[in-house]
Amino acid sequence: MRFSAERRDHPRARIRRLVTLSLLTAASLVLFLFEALIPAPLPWVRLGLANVMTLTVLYLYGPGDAFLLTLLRVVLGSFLVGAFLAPAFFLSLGGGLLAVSAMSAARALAPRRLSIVGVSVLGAVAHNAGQLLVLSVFFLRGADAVRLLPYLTLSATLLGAFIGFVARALVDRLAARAAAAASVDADNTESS
Amino acid sequence: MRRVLTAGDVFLIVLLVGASVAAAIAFARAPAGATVSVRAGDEIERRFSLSEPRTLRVRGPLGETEIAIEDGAARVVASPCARKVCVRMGAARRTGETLVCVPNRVIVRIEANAGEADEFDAILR
Repeated sequence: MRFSAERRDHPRARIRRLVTLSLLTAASLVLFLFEALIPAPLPWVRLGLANVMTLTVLYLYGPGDAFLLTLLRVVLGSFLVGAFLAPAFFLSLGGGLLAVSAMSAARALAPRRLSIVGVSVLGAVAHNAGQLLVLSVFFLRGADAVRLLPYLTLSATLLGAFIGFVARALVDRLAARAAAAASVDADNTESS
Repeated sequence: MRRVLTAGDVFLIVLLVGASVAAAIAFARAPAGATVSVRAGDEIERRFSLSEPRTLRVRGPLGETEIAIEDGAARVVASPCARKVCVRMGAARRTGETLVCVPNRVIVRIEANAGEADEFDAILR
């Protein structure tokens, strides 16, 4: 599964990519804020809606842009909820960076074995692990962090799979559009 | 047609669910604890017996967190933090169970009998 439909060299394709990335970043911020509003059924459990956008960017544009999107979401999101440099900021930074690293690595190392759903599950679990890692560096003892891990891993696995299906649907649609747009660009270039 | 899930996806999901359920069951079977350790902000860790009901007030960066000890369990009753995760974590009674309030930097941990409980601290307060 490769989505290299878009021609990076064409100027219109570059603009299209920039606009798509900006829209996906904005969408991930909105989802992040929306999710902060819904009360979680259990403490520490989050749906991870914003990860739909990270996954989509990873599959459409690669790890570099996925890292950029994650950093922007964490920093801008913390501005919007007023938590910049607060403990919650470092938790979401640690979780976000470990998640996007794990997903990028999984996609690069096992592209045949894992679909976007498996990559999403890994990302969700890594997100929790990253948060607990930051927690244990800051003030929690390692043993306490391990104690919380099973419940978080269980919910992250199931929610991560769900998020993966959503991301797959979005990636399929966006890739189809990009392919159509690229063929239009190619036609225009030939005729001009 | 692309398959919905690859064998790797299924393996990963089954592995993670299995491991976390097994660990959760192992933790849920831990014996009931005897003492509770309380840390708040930069305060020194203090221990109290779980068998005596009492209410503790500890000070973190945001204000006072209220912890109740009763029926051999500890729970956070009131906290100045925004999301009240610690309050919603409920009661902890088994060895190793932990209640955490990240914003107010409070950690409540159930322990097996780890030496003497700090009864005097509680009386002096």
